[in-house]
Amino acid sequence: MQSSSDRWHATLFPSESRPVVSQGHVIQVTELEAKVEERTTELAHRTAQLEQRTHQLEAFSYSVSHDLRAPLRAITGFAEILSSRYRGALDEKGRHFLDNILEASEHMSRLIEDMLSYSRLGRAAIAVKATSLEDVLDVIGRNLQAHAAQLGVTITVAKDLPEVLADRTLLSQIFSNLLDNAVTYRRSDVPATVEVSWIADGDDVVIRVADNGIGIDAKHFDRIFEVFQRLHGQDEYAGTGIGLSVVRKAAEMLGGSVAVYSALGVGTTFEVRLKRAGDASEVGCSAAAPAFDER
Amino acid sequence: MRLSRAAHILLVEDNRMDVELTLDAFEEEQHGNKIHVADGGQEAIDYLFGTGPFADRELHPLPDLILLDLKMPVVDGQDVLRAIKNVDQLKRIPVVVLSSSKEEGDRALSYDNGANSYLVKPVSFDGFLRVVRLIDDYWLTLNVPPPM
Repeated sequence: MQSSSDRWHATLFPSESRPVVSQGHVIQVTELEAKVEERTTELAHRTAQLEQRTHQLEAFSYSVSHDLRAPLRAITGFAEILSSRYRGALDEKGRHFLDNILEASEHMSRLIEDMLSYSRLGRAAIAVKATSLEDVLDVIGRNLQAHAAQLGVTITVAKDLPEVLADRTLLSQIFSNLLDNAVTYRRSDVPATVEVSWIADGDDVVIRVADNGIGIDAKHFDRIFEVFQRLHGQDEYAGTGIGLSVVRKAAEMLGGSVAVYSALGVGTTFEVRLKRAGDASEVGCSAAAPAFDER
Repeated sequence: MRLSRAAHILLVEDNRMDVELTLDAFEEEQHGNKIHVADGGQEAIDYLFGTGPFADRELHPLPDLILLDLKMPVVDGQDVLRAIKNVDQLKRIPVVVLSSSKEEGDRALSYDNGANSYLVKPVSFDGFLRVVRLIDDYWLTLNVPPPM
């Protein structure tokens, strides 16, 4: 293996294995090598520090989220008891305030759950192995089916989805967040559709989740993957701003990536690139076909 | 198999509001179970071993079921599990962990320490009602209790 100093020599003197130089030049190169070594050590130290800080932050956010659950359970639980047993004893304003408490606590509950999911990503051990996309999407589809049907959203999933190299939990988090978003950010003037398809690309599989929803302005493409970044108010579209950051982090943990293509008022397509399991030389693709019973 | 008498449940929980919610849910479901509350892990161990204020078994009978929180100060739920699952007189009492945590580590350790079931505390009161109903249906009705 080449050391960093060897690499520097090769860069500085590409045509010779060792330079024939004057004494002065040798001293300069030696100094340069020393500086490179020093910077490399410094960089490694900083990387280790950053990794440690990231772990500490993840542990902190997990701990805070976890501890927030107990008081939230009390707020939600007792507000629900008030609502179910004592609603009649309140006037209209009192009932409105109580509904506000219930709505806010439901939102906080989602926030905590999403924060926990995000922080768990950095701490949980993952088992990357051949995982059936079809199984994972089947479970997500079944969970989402009633909600989607209620909102009039048609979801179609390609047949013969391949196996990918992934951790099942991470894979599930990626696609449940993408499908959930696709269902949420729909347009009111057209029947909402969500289509999951895939293509093979060398050793990779590219899975597309495409919707005909409200779309995303291209200037926000980077921002949407950051934690807590939202483009809409809570009253307009409910959400926590964590979902897509989970998608990106999970995809990257699997050695993959996620990309977005979108046009305002037309729709959005998210592309998730993952490693294909098994025989990667086999090239194929599949058109979308109805998979979820929308009745 | 429903017991011919009211079932005794030991609720091990140090959070007063969680205790209130759980007791209210049991009351709402009206199964007539007798709930004993242990305020933390140490009190649960004292109750189960019949020591100190819990020496009178008429007043503090061994429970048919233990509902156990995990995160408690000093003596936590895992300590309680370790303490009772190695003792002949106590090890067969079914223990249902009732925790806020979904963490893999907490689940694994609980089962390793002999928990018989692991449930995540719901956030909503409706969720609590459902959990309480299912606990009663399964552990105190359908499940055949161990010989004591």
